[in-house]
Amino acid sequence: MDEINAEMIESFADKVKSIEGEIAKEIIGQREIIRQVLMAVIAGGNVLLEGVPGLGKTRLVKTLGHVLDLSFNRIQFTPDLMPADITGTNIIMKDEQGNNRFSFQPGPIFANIVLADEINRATPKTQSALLEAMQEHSVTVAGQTRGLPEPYFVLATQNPLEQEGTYPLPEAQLDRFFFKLLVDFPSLEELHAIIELTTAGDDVVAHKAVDGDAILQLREIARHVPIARGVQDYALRLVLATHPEIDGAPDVARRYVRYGSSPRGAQAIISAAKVRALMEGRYNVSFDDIKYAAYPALRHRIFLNFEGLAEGRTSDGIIDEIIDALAE
Amino acid sequence: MKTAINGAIYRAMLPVRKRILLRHFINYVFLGTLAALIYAIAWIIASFFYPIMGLDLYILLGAAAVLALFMVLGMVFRPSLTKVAYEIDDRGLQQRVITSYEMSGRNDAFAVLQRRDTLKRLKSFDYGSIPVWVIPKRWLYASAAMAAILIVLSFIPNPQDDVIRERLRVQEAIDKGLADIDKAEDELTREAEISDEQKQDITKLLEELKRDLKDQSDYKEAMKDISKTEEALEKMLEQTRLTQMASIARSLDKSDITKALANAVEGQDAEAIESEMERLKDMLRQGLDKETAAELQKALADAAAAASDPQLKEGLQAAADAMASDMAAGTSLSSAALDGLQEQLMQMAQGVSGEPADMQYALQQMKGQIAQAAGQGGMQVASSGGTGSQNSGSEGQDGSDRNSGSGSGSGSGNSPSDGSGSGDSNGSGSGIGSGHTNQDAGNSNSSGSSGSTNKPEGDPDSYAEYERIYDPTRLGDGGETSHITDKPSDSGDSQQTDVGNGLGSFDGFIPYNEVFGDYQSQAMESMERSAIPPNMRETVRQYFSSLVE
Repeated sequence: MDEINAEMIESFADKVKSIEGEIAKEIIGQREIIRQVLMAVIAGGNVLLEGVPGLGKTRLVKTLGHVLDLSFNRIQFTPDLMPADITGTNIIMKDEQGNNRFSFQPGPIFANIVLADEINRATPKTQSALLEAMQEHSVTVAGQTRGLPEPYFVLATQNPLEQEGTYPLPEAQLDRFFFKLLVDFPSLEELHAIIELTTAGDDVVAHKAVDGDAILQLREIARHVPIARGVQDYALRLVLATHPEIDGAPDVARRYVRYGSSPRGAQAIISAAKVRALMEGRYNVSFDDIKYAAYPALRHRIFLNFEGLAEGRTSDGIIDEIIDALAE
Repeated sequence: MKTAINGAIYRAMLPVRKRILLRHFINYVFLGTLAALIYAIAWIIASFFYPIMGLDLYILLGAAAVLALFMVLGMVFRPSLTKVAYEIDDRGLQQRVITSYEMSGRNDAFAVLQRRDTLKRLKSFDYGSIPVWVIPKRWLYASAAMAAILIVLSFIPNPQDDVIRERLRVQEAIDKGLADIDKAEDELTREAEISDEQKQDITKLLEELKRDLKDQSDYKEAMKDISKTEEALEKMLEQTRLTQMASIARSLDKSDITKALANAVEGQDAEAIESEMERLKDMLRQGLDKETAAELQKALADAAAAASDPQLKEGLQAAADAMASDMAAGTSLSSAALDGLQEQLMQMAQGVSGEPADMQYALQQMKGQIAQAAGQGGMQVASSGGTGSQNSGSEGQDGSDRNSGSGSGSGSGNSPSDGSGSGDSNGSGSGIGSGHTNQDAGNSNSSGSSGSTNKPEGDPDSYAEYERIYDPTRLGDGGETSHITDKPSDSGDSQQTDVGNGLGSFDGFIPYNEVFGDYQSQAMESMERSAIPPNMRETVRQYFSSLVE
């Protein structure tokens, strides 16, 4: 990759804006979700989208693949889905000479963007098949490790309402997700736009805005965004404050939190904050960036205790109170 | 490039930094003022329970020191550039400045772009948005409360003010007394009748006293110090006297003819001395043979050599010389030579040794003045209209034509006893002085000087704490006037009304400390005049010392 120069940095925001613009052609509303998904994609993380069916999650991911000019596969997770159905397997094939030999048949995981739809419907064994792919960007089948194409992202969805016959994602699996995004129901205005877009007139098609290499370049640029020591310190204190067992933890954490965020949470906050700074046309990370990134990066990494669940507390509410209690 | 950009950022930060520093120092000045107010209040409250001399000065200097301390603290803890950078960032620059500041050493594309962006923002930054006056409300409330407390406290009468006034008067009296002591000390050095060794010892005692009294404002302590010196002086003189008598006795004991006199001298028996001296005089009158006369003359000469007191030495030597002269001339020995010696030996045996009398008198006077100063506070009229005994000492001294004598005077005066603390005193005094010998005693009559005394009106409470005693001297000349209103009536009876405050406050009863000094002085003077045994004198001194403790 070329050395980062001023022109590349200055064009970052424009590129991201063009991507957002193209996606927005097909996805009505959900601006923040689109923005946060892009932040995760540029930072190189996986995203867990949580929302009721019909909010355009799958469409968003498909559009993203198209705009980014990346290969896209969708896996519909069901209880009978097996790991090999995802990763692929060796099958016996005849070669040109008619000899039988094992040949690897790649699974749907071999794509730049993988949509794991309703991921909590598959068994933990199948869910865990994604672990290596999400973290290492590789797949090991029959003792042979195969790399996945770069850039590589897993975007999983789950339905928060229908919990029967589901397998909640274990903490280790959740921690692999860079962001967890909550997809809200569209507003009346947005619904009007959706209806007008889908039931009348011509289909609007999003165009390719960048390619995979550009995404990798954007990722590299974002990694170099400077961050002041005090700002980084604030992010780390924020993560530490989610741990009830640590001295000086806020009361809210002591009272309602069972486990706090892992260091991956801090990495996610800082990486996302850097991307956001550039998206905002700034060349340094601010406290606002940290606070903005804290919600999607920590909400699935904070586990409430019984008291928290019983009182109907949410992770976002806990993060709110921690931010209020923490001095910059 | 690095230096230029860093310098540019620094320059861009400077105006903000100045405002932040100004605000910082204003806050510290405010805090310092608050602390100074608390400091002043603490001192004023303390002054209600303990008399603090020079309170205003303490408060002013202390408050200034507290303020200065806060300024120094403000200097030490002044905002760093980092803090300034964070403060600017808080006002919408979103950590651009602090990032630039921390990236000062970097010149990569990001660092350059970031600095450029920061400079651009700094140039359009509204410096006026940084407030200079940011005093937390709780500080303002606290300062207002402290100022209010200070004002209220300054209007509340301080009971310790009377104590302070009394101490100032005591200090003044001590200073005056010290000046008198210095004067007496000068005279002492010129006194020929006191040995050098005695002079040195007395000087040493006085130096100690002066040291003790320096900056002393507690009259009790001052009185104690003076009493201690008096006792030491007395003890020293007594010791000298005893040593001298023992020495003379040893010399006289060598001769059979003066052996009995030696025993009388050693036993400090004035009557025996008188009797022995009379016996020797009889022997002289009856005529002595040459050998006996020579033996007596030699015994007297030896005793003169052994005596350390210059006056006694002179007396003994004079007697020995007179005998030697008579013997050389072949004339009969005269007993007159022993007359003076007899008187001197008797006085010595009785402990009437008055060489440092001026000094003792000065000490007594000083105690009297201090006691009087401690007791003043609204009753000045009564004392100014008093007996005129304050002039008596000097009048008595006038009466002695040689040695310094102590005396007492009496005077009558009129004084308006209106309680206002001002009045004129007219008096005439007479003094009677007594010396060591009958030649020293003298009388003088002098008309008292008229003077006026103006003293501030004191708080009557200041003397209320002293026990009131009956002072008979006030009945005649300074007592309460009894007003009788006489209203003719048909029956011819008259009505009498006492407009005084009743028996309890009859002016014959006054706080003892007002007359204590006079009483003590008179007692000491009387002791000087009379042949009172040393142990009795000591008892009287101890009595007066115990009264001031």
